[in-house]
Amino acid sequence: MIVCRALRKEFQTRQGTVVALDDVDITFARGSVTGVVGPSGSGKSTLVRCLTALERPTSGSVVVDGEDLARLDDRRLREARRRVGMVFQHANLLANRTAADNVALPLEVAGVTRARRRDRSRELLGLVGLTGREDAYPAQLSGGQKQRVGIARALANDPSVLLCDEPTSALDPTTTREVLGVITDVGERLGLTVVVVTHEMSVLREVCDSVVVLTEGRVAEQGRLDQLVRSEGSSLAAELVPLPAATSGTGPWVDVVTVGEEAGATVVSRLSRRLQADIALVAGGAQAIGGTHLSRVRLAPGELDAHAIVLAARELGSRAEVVA
Amino acid sequence: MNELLSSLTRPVVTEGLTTATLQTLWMVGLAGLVSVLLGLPLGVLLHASSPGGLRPMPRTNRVVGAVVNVTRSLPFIILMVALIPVTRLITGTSVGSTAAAVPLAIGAIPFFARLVEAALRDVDPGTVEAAEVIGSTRRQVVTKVLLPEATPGLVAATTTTLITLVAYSAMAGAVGGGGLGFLAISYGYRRFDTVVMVLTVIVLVVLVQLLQAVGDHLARRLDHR
Repeated sequence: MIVCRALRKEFQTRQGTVVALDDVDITFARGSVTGVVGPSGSGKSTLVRCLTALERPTSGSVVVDGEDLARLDDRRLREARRRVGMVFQHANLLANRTAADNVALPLEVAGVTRARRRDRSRELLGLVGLTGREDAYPAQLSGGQKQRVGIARALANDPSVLLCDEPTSALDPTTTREVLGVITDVGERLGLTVVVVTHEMSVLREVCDSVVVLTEGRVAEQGRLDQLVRSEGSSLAAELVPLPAATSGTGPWVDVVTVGEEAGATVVSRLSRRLQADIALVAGGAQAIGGTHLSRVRLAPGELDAHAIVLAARELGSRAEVVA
Repeated sequence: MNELLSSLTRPVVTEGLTTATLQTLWMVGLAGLVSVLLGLPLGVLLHASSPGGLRPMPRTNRVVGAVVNVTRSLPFIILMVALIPVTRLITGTSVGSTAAAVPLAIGAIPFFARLVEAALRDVDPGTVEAAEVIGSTRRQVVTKVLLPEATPGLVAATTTTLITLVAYSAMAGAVGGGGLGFLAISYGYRRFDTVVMVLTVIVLVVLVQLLQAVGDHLARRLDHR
């Protein structure tokens, strides 16, 4: 479990002070898989560096398993870091070490004996499905296999937290699913607190049960994914159901997000009946997120007033807004 | 034909060339060993103390960098003469191959250190970060990540340094260091002995080719990228 309280990080640059994280309060619950999303420059990377204590907070605290990383001296900090296993975007494996030796590196650093290291790295590579590839060098492995080795390495010191920084951003869709599968699998099996930093909404959709949305260094939204998508005022639902690019015409359009399978399927016809007019459907999509069915349709108002559609949709229990 | 054969069997060729080659190998080997032993930590210091390095120390970095640059910009022949007192202090004499190894090493240490620095800079910073988040000390980052990952580059740096030392050793030979340079100057050049001159050059070319080939082979074998 990780608790960030009033976390603030400033950087001094020639242009003055830049606030990368501003009064951030987050709790990553044990056993949860939390996605941290936000546009680039929103403070995601700084948050990651604070969670691994590569960066010391300007103020506030980062408490991992009851220990405040911001208050430890160098030696204790190095030991505390072992409780957080980290998976990188580009795996960051040592090119001149075999898969097994890469996995053994954290154990070597921690002073574990050679025999124990060999057994443990074999066991970990088995856990991520790489039995038989112990002696392969990273250059001989595929992107997905490299990331599996990276995950095995992150698990070597029995961490309680698995922190993944854009773990699939450099991978193709099939490999992405494979790697996400391994992350959720080991997270579940070992009872880890999993944090996945990503800019891909699909990653959020597929593996996360909780989410933190960062905007300009602040927490814009956070909570359980299935609750957030139902709540008014969350822009998450719309972002989680991407629409195909509109093929014809120009805006303004009306975007309608509906929770529930039945309600989503009938929303256009119900709107049409209520307004007693035909309504053109421009684009639409549906997703199941943490057991919650979400649909999103984009409507062309045509002769009708866009705001009238918005009001009608809201009366029908959907969320709606005019988009340009 | 007979003339050439008899010219090739003169003592200056048979014994002289062998002795000179051995002297050159001794000079280059000794100076090379010392350069690697002292240049490697110096290169690590240059890399680690640089801005964004493992332990940024701007002042140390500037001072060490300046000393390295000054040493490297001095013409070797000047360095050798200027270092005569130091050479005497270390070896007790300023003539002979062992004495010549002193200025050779001092000239090559900063050269090798810069090559080491460049090789370390080529190591993926992501691997250093990966080592840091698992709780490595700075020493562990150097010994377990930076140096092993830079091994092919370090081998290439050693090769280049040894070859540079072969060239410098010829110069050292001209001013009392013995070796192939001395042979070429005193017989080949001053006595117009073309045969000795050509043979010396051939030995030097073969020596350099051999060093490069072995170095390249080793670097390739150690490179798993």
